[in-house]
Amino acid sequence: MAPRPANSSIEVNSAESERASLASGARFLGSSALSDAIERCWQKAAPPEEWNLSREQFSIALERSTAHHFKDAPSNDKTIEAYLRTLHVSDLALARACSAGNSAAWEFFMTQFRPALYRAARAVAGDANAPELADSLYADLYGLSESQDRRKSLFDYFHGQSKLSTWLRAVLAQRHVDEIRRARRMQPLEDDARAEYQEISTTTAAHASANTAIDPERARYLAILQAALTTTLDSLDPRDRLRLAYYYVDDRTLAEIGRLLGEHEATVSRKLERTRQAVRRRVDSALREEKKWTEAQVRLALEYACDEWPFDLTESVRSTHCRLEAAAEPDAASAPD
Amino acid sequence: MASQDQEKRAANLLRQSLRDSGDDCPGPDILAAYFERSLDVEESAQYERHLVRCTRCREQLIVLDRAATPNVAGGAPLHRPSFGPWRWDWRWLAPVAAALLVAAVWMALRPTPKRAEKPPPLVAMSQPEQAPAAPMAPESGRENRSAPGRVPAAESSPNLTSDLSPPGKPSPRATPLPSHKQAETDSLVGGNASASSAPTSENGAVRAVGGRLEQGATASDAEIISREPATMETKSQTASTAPRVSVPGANVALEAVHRRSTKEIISTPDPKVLWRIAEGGFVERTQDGGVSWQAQLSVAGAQPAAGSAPSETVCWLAGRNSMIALTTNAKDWKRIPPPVPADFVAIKALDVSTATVTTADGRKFTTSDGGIDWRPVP
Repeated sequence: MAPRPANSSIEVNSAESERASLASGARFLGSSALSDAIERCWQKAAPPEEWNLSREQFSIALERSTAHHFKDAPSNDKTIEAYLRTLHVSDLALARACSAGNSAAWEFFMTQFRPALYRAARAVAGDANAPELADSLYADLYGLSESQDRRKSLFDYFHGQSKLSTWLRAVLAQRHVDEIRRARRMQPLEDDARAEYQEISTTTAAHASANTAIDPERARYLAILQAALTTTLDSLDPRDRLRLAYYYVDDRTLAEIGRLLGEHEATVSRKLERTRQAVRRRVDSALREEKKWTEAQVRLALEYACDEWPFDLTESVRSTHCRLEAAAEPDAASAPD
Repeated sequence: MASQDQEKRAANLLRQSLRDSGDDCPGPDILAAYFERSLDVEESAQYERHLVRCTRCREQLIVLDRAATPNVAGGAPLHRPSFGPWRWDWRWLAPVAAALLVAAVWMALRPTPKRAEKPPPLVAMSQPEQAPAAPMAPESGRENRSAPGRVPAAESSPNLTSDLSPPGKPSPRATPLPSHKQAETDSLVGGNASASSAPTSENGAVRAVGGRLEQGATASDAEIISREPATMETKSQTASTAPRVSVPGANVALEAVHRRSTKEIISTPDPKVLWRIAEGGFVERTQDGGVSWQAQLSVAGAQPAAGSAPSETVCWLAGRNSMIALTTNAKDWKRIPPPVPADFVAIKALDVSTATVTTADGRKFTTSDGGIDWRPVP
């Protein structure tokens, strides 16, 4: 059944308290220089009369959005005005009216957004899980009664920086991913899997121990290599690094990466290759020129790093008592021969 | 270092190095804004620095992309074209707005080309009893809410009569603009618009799931929960009655498009009572000579082409895809079975029972019993 504000007594906030709230909380929008900008937003939003959304309520929503965006960041009237211009104010007005429990706004939301919300849930979670995912979001949008006179709606967390439809999808995506990740962590190991896990652990520890016995400098090689690689990756442009992460960590296809980054597939491929080569060159340069390693040492370090090893390289290095910090210190005198 | 083995080793190294840092994840507002490319350059770069180290956020972005992208057979999602410039700077809209204005003026001077439309379900809106609004505001301060940087005209053009979901409650003062709302709906389903049905009750749609909000909340949301109490509206509040004025600049062109989107005015014997056919399958009625309009009917996916109102409360409509509709009380509409499947381009009604329709190919049919029976007119 479509939700309705069950009882008008729930919505008890008076106009006076809202105005007081605005006055006391208008940390960002209290300036008279911004009054024109607020008025423009109000005109642009143009909420229908039947939504019963007052200008004061809308201004409070703007203040919240601004406060959320700037938080501790420096701001002035100009930057705030620029920010206000980017907002999806019509959606913000709708969210505010729905949060306040207005029937007409809810009806509008249900008509315009709800069917698509359920379709998005199906696309995200599949037919079996979609109703639960969408229903729970819908319930939170409506707001669960926390006390006799206050209701907290998920709409309060929409700040207009994106379209409402995209924001709803984003909330769905977050919830779905969190649920998946939670299920992954909680999934009990089957007995066979547990045994295999323990065997791997034992083998790995033995392997590490044996390798260290063969070459006591192994850990140091690995640590220096890891430090050089970390420094190189940190120096990359964030987009280049993100492209690598999508490809190597998330196993995304070139087409998917292209969509996520707004690039053509061929561009993704080309840039990935360019970044890989750049990483290789810089790591090589760091090891040879800064650490004065020879070609043979570089190759050896790569071999050590790329042995079959089920755990994170850093963890294995730490487990053999070689700290990254110590290894990263320039120490040409004690470098491996 | 060119061998396959070395490539594999290098890939493994990269994989291990691009590890999660465990930083606090931004909320869905940032995720959504980033996805829409509506963060500025600095914000995007900052978010990408987080994304690089956060598998959780990357997974969310991937799922968000999946929700937005229609799948082709085999499950491989379509490639989504890139959106263009990163920075959504409103100043870039100036030449676009100028071009839009020119296009809008040109479009106003020529008839709207017809478009093929799907057979429409008839969705009658119940018109709430409401007094006409106070002073008339110029039509629409409602902007097209496409993402900044995109050409807004495409979503407001009268040519864009795509499948529409049933409208909500438009303001009696502002021109309803379903196309931008449809754009919202379209984007939610990755552009795969379809005529959604009228609101139906859904069993179990709302369940007390208790604690879901906190479960799904991020750290930043938790902060908001504690410091920003929700404020509620009181029913006794009166809505603002300040007249709405058009926003100059980029909205001027949009206004022109909105005004021009009205296709036909249907007169009645009373000069103050008019119907009008608006773009997007909307039919509206005024009782004050056009000061205010109330939406009467939305024919999702179809466009009425003509109407005839023999009285203030009786109005016939006819349009594409065999559409014929009739109201006898000025608010409730019923679909009339057509004489033949056809696109109707004209209708002339004498009263509630008698009307003659004309098809696109020139045939005429008339009824004298309110559409129960039709006979061709020689």
